[in-house]
Amino acid sequence: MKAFLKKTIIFLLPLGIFFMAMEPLLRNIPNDYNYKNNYLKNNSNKISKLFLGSSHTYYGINPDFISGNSFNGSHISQSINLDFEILKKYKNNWDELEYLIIPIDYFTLFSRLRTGIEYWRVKNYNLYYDIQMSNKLSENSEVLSINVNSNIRRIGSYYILNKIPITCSELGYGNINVKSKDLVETGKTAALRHTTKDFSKLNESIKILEEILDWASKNNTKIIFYTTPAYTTYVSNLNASQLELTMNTIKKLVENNTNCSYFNLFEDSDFYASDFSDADHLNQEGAKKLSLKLDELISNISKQERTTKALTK
Amino acid sequence: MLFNSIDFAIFLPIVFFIYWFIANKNLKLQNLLVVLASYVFYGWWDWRFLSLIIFSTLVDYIVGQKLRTENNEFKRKILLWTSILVNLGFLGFFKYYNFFLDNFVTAFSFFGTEIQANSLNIILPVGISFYTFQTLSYTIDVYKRKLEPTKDFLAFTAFVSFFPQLVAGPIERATNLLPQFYKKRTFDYSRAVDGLRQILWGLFKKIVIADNSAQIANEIFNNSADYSGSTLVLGAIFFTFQIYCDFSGYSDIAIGTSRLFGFNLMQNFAFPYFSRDIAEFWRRWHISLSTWFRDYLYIPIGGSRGGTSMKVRNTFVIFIVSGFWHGANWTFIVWGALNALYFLPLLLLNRNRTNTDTVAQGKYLPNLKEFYQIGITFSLTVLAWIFFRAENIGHAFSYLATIFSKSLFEIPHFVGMQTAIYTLFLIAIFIIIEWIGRNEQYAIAKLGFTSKKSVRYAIYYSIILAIFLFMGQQQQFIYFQF
Repeated sequence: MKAFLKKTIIFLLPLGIFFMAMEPLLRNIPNDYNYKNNYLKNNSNKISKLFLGSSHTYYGINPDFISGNSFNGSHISQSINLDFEILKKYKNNWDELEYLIIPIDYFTLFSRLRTGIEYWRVKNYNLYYDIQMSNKLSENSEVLSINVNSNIRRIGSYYILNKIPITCSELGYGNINVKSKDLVETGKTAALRHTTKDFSKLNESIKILEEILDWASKNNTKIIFYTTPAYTTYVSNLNASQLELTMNTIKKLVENNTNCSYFNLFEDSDFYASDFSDADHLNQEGAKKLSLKLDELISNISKQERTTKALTK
Repeated sequence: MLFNSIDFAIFLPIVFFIYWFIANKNLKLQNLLVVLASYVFYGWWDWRFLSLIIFSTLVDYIVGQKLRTENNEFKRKILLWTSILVNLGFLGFFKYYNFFLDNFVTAFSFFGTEIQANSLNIILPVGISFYTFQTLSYTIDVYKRKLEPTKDFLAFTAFVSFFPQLVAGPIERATNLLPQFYKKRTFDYSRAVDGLRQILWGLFKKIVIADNSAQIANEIFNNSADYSGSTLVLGAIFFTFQIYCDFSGYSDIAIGTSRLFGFNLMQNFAFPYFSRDIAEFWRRWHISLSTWFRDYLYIPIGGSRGGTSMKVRNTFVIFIVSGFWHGANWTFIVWGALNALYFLPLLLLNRNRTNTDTVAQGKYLPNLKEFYQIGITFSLTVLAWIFFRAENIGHAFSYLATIFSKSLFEIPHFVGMQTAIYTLFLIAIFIIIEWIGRNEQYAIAKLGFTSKKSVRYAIYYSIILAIFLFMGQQQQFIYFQF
C-alpha cells in the first residue's frame, strides 16, 4: 500500500508542479477583467454614464463617442446578475453616476454566464473582480478552467512574445478589429444559441432588475434600458414567444418605474449590413453609430428632465 | 459527480485514503464508507433523488427477506411483482410518463378525439435505468432461488449504490458483486495499478476522443439541413466514436475505480467495432445490459427455442425493449428494431455464433475477408446510430435522405473542420491502440506486464499529455440521460 502511494505521488508530482507553476504565471497576465476592475477601483466616483452588459455592449458601445465621463463595464457573456454584482461592488463609489445603461437583449432575461458556453469565464469574476461567484475549485483557478493547450499559448504569448492580451480600449470598449463573418450563417447559429426552452431564470432576472431600479432611485441614477441592434438574419431566426416575453417584461418594468427609460433599437433602420461584424455584433462603424445614437437619446432625456424641473419650479 | 471533474479528482483520493487507512480493519466500516461515499457521489447531482435509491433498496431488501421464508408459489410471485412494479413504476413515471401521454393524445387525435392532457415537467433522475435493473436482478435471482437472499443490509445497500457503477453501469449482477461485499478486501498492489491504468485509458477515451467527436457530431446533427450527404456521413461516424468512447470510457473508469477498492466488475465493452457481424457486435457492446436482457427477458419468453415465428418475435422484443430502455423516443425504438432486422438473418440461418473468438487472433492484421466483414458491420452500425442520435424520426429520415443523395459525392465542408481533422487523426491512433490490445480487458492492459518501466511511464505521460492538449469541451456522459 505504501509503495503504491509513494509511486503514485512520485508519478503525479511533475504534473502537480507543472500546474502549480502555471497558476501564478497565468494570473499575472493582464486581462480585460483586472484592467476594468482596476479602472473602476480608481475612477468609479468620476463616472457619469456606466454601460454594462455582454458582448453586444462590449463591441457595441464606444465611450469615446459618449459625452461626459463614461465607461464600458461589459464583458463577453456577462449576464444581468454579474452586471448587478459589479454595480454592488462599488456601491459606495458611484457619486457622479447619472445614467446606468443596461442592454435588454433577446437572451438577457433567460441566461446566466455559468450555464452558457462561456461558463469558463466565471473564474474571471472570482479571481479578478473579487466577486465570490462560487467556491468551486475549477471556478477559482486559471489552470483548472481553461485547457492546458490554451494556457501554454497564453503564457508564451505574454512572457515570450510580450503580447498584452487586453482587448478593450482605455474606456472599456472592445476595440479589436473583429473579422467580419457570414451574416446568414451567424444569424442562424447565434439565434439557436440564444434561444432557450428554459424560462426559469425570468423571475430571478426581473427581481435583479427591480433591485437595480431600487438602488438607482436611492442613488439618484437614471436607468436606460435598450435593445441592441441586430441584423435581420438574426432577428428572423428568433423564437417569437421568447422575444415577446422579453419585450413585454421590459415594457411592464418601465411602466411601473419612473426612473427608467427603454429604447428598442433591435430592428433600427439606421443600421445596415456594413455595421455588423456578425449577425448580432456591431463592428467599429456600427459601434460608433450606436454610441452616438444612445448619447443623443440620453441627452434628450436630460434636456426633458431639465425642462420638467424648470416648469415645476 | 462526473468522473472527469475536479470534484471527483478530490473525492476519489479522500475516499481511497479513508477506505484503506482508517476503515481497513473492519469490513462493516468499509461497507458503510462505500454507502456514504456513494450517497455523496450521487447526491452531488441532486440529493432529492437519493430517496428513490433508498426506497428501492428497502423494498428489494424486504422482498428478499420475505422470499427467504415464503414457500407458497403464489405469494412468492406477488412478492416478485411487488419489487418489479415498484422499480419499474419509478422508471416508468420518471422516464416514460410524458412519452406515453403524448402518444396517447396523438393517437386519439388521429381518430378525431381531442384529449386535453398536460405533460409534466419531470426531471429524470441520473442513472435510474441502471440501478433499477441492478436491484431487479437481485430480486429475480432470489425468486428463482439462484441466489441466497442477503441478511446483511449494509452489504445490500452498498451493492445497490456502489458509486463507481451506480449511474452508468456496468449493470452488475447480484451473484457477482454482492458476495464481494461479504469478504474482507485486502489491498492488492498490481490490481490497484491496473485500476489506475484503466481509469487513465477511460479518461483518454472520454476527454480526447468522445468530447472532440461530440463537438463535430453536434454541429453536423444540429444543422444537418445545411450540409451535404458526405458531411452527414462524417457526422454519423463522429457520433459512432463519440458514443463508444463516451460510454466505454465511463465503464473503464468505473471498473478501474472499483479495482482501486478491491472489487471486480464485469467487462462491459470488448472492442465492438472490430466485430465481424451484428451478433458479435451485440456480444461485445454494453455486455452487462445485453446479458441482462438475455437472462431476464429473452430466455423467459422462450429465447431461440420454438418455431421461426417465435424466434422472430423474441428477437424483435428484446431489441425493441433494449432500444426503449435507452430513452422515451421513437428514435430509440427504431434503432432497436433496425438492429433486430440486422440480427435476424444470422439467427434464422443459425449463424449468430459464427464469430465467437477475437478477430485475427495471433495475427497483426485481419485478412481481406475479415476486413470486409468488419467494414460492413461497422457501416450498418453507423447507419443505426443515426436513429439513435436524431432528434426525432423525421430528422433521422431527412438525414438519411441527404446521405443517399448526389451530395454524398461532394467534398465535406462544415463549421469546425480543423477540429475534425485532428480528431480524425486522434481516432486513427486510438483505433491502432485498440487493435493492438483487442485480446485484453481494455486496450492498454498489456502494458502492465510486458513493457519496461521507462516505456510504461513514457506511454502514461503521453496519454496524460494528450488528454491535456487535446481535451474537448466538457460534455456530460451520454448514458447519464438513460
